[in-house]
Amino acid sequence: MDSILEPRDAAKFADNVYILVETQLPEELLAALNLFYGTKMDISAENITSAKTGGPGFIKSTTAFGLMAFGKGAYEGHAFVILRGTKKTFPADWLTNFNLATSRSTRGQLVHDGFNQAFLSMRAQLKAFITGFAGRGVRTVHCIGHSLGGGLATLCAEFLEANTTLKPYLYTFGAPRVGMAPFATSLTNSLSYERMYRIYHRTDIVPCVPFWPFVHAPLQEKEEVYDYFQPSPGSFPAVEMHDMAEYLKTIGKQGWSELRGKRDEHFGEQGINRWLNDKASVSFHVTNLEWLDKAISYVVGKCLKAMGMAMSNAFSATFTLMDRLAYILRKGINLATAISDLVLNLIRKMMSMLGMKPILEKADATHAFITRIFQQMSARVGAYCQRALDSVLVNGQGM
Amino acid sequence: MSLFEPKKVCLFSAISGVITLNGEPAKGAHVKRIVEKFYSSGHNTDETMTDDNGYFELPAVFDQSFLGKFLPGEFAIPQQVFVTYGGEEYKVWAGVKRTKDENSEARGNELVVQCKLDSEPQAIAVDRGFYYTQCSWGVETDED
Repeated sequence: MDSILEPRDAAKFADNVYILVETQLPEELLAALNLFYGTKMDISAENITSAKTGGPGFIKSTTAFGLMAFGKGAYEGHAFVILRGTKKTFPADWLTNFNLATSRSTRGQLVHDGFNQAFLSMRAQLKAFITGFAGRGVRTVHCIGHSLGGGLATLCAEFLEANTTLKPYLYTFGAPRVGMAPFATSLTNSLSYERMYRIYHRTDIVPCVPFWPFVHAPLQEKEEVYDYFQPSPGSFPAVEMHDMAEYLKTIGKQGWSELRGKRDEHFGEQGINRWLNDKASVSFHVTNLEWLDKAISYVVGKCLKAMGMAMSNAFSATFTLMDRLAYILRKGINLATAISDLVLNLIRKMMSMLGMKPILEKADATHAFITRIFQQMSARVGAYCQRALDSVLVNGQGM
Repeated sequence: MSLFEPKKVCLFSAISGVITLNGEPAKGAHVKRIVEKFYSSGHNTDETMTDDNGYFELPAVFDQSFLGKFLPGEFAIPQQVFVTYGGEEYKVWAGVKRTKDENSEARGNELVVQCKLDSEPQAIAVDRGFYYTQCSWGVETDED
């Protein structure tokens, strides 16, 4: 039977992987895996030690830890890939000075190079794991992870979909953005959004980064696509809301249908147009950042469509992203009035969020000007993250 | 919490107790505790000797950080305790502490242990943490 995991089980699997630590001796590791996963997965000493040569086992690379295992009992016929990053904290430079280096994913899409390198370090083990699928009668694969582990699980899901006949289920908790829009589109199409369980707290800072053009999968281009947004108090990110303990608390015993549809905002075409056309000034907070994100995606999409360009061709690794973005938007201004107005409203919105007077005429929106606004926005998001982190430290909670 | 007070987390709670070998107190045994830091790399090591009753105690180990060093991160602290007695070294404790609170190893109670160097290590889960140890402290373990 092809079946999903209950939210609580997926969350516990993601949480328990943190008990795997570098200092563990093989017998300690085996005892830990047995205690936390042994009733649901096939954990044997053989599996653990065979990790070097292939098959299921413990994943250990310089950047990632994890577990690959076959299910047993109620999970017979299931395979699990459960991941975490090795660093105790989310790398500071990924939050504050966004390293925008990209590289190609399994399906040739642009993704964050940091995540991709970590994924590549475990790819050989994943390949070896796949070879056992037929013999074990695997019908269902689950890719699970929290934080960086969620980013890695996303890349694993793409790899498994491309290299097996199965469509993996993907469960992420507070995961960062892994790739650009074409990656998100491609993954959403190949897995289908119904198999992607992206749970995140509204005020968890990690899913806010890296800033646009990195976006989350599933891409919410269509009204029916949903994610598992969870309201959390305040309008400012709080680092505690990234903790797996908070996700376990939020999820409780709820089912997927109960965890779904908790957002008030609707990022459809109408909603985005309304947000863009609203002349009221906008402050810099987490909800507006999400709106801005969707709006940039929407406006760039409109520009490209009018220019007859595909998103996948618009962002090659050779141009700097901000520059390319500015180029597309500047082109958009020269297109039909409807698109031109959209672009101008988008830039005005960013100016407003940056605390500038949103007065902008068509002629003033030069390539250089748009680039500068984007750079300022990116820097501001970086500073915002830093401030969010600091405020948690100072106050013991988010602002 | 005041403005300039750093965020403080407990890496290993105060631990005390009795160490035995074959039912006899391990007198003058050397106890070494190693715990990884949370906010920075590296670890904290401290040590003590057992008295004539095999009794030892070690204080709580904390880590703290001021502005700018705090990042979202999952708390999972590797803990180790080694006992050297009669020329043998025993790893009596390999733990992973998962909550920042003091005494989370014992669900909020004082961590008072009995460690038998001749026993098989037990694997238990407490408060999402994992302990593989020759010590026992009567704690209620996590349900599945």
